[in-house]
Amino acid sequence: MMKYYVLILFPCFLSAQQDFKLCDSTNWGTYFAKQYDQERYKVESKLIKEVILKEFTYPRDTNVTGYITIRYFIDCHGKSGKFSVLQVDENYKKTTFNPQVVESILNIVKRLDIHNLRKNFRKGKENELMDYFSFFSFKFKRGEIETILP
Amino acid sequence: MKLRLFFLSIFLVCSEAVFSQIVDDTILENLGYEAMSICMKKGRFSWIDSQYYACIDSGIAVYPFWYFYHLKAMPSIKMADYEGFVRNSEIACEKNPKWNDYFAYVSFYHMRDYVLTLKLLRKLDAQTPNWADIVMNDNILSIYGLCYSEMGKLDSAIIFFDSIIETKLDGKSKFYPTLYDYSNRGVVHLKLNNNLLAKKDFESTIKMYSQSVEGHYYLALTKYHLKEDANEIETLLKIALKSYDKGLKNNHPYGEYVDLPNQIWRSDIMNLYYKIKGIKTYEESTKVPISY
Repeated sequence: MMKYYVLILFPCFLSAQQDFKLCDSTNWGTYFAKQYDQERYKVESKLIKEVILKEFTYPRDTNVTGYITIRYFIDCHGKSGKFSVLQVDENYKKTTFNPQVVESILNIVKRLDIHNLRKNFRKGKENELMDYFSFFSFKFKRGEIETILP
Repeated sequence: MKLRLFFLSIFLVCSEAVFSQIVDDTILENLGYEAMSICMKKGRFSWIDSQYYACIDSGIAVYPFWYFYHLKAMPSIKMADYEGFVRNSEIACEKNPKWNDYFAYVSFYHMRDYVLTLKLLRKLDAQTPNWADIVMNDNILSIYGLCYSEMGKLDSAIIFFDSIIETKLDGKSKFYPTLYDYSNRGVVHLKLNNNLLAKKDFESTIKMYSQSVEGHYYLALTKYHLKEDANEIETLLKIALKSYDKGLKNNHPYGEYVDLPNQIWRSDIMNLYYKIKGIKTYEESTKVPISY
């Protein structure tokens, strides 16, 4: 009997973490299409970055030098999910930074409700809304955030 | 038996969500290579030999091998996969250093890695001395100037902007100096508190492009520093705002995926407007939606 519980609980636990689903996983856009430049976020990105920096009470770790990137999707209802983290050192090699620092950034990005809905750009589907991809990259130098991209 | 089936069905439902996540992540990794996949889909992509590949679409286009890696590098950076970008760029650079160094330094500039950008610029310049290379109609002197400006080495930045504006690149390109060379030099003069020189540069910017957001905003800011007529500043800011709302601010063609390091925002224009009107600057940042 025990084995059934294990079998059920493991994927259920994971799926509970990942209840976000794209409206159409085969057709999604990117945040940076030039024609949407001024509609990228609900407010201008300069202000968003200021808020992120203000919110960021991270553990100071001078070993953190490089880029921590949080990539995610915004679905056709404006909800964000499918967060993934990329970490590279100053030589752009994959690395793993202090998990506390990464977690701290991830939590802030997850809490942001900044994305506009995106109209489909494909012909004949102009009135539909579509999922799209976005990210925030944090350039760290000796534990301090030097800049935030995009 | 029924119990087993019940457990199995729950397992399948839950697993589906997990596996769809894995599939979506794979799509995220791969769909980034959009440009390349247009060729690859439906067998419209084939290798010719180790030097070339063909993209068969509405005809046959043959591309050199390095371009394949260039195409892989391009979406990598737009998808913020910096490791993938560097890996693919390095392979492409081995085959065609000039093209790819150009693309790489522009990218690293937008990633705010000014040290590496300058390193690549020097390498490129060593290959083609005396600024003979105005590759892709983009002037590497201005990127030099912008890097030094962002690094706080303002005197060095001025030298590079001067060399574009004063020499006009000895007629090597009819496109230079651009209005942004003037506005970028003006910004450096502004940082150095050379307000009169800055004013001259922003006036030149507006002369070249009457709807320039940068020209009008920075000229207003310079006039504010010089304590000039408030009505004139107000007029300049109104033009800047109108142009901004029309989407006429500076956009680097290869940097549409990131904010420019020295970008002007609507709130900058508005804050200066509030200042000259004597209104307390509005805390725009309180409007950023964040949950607690």
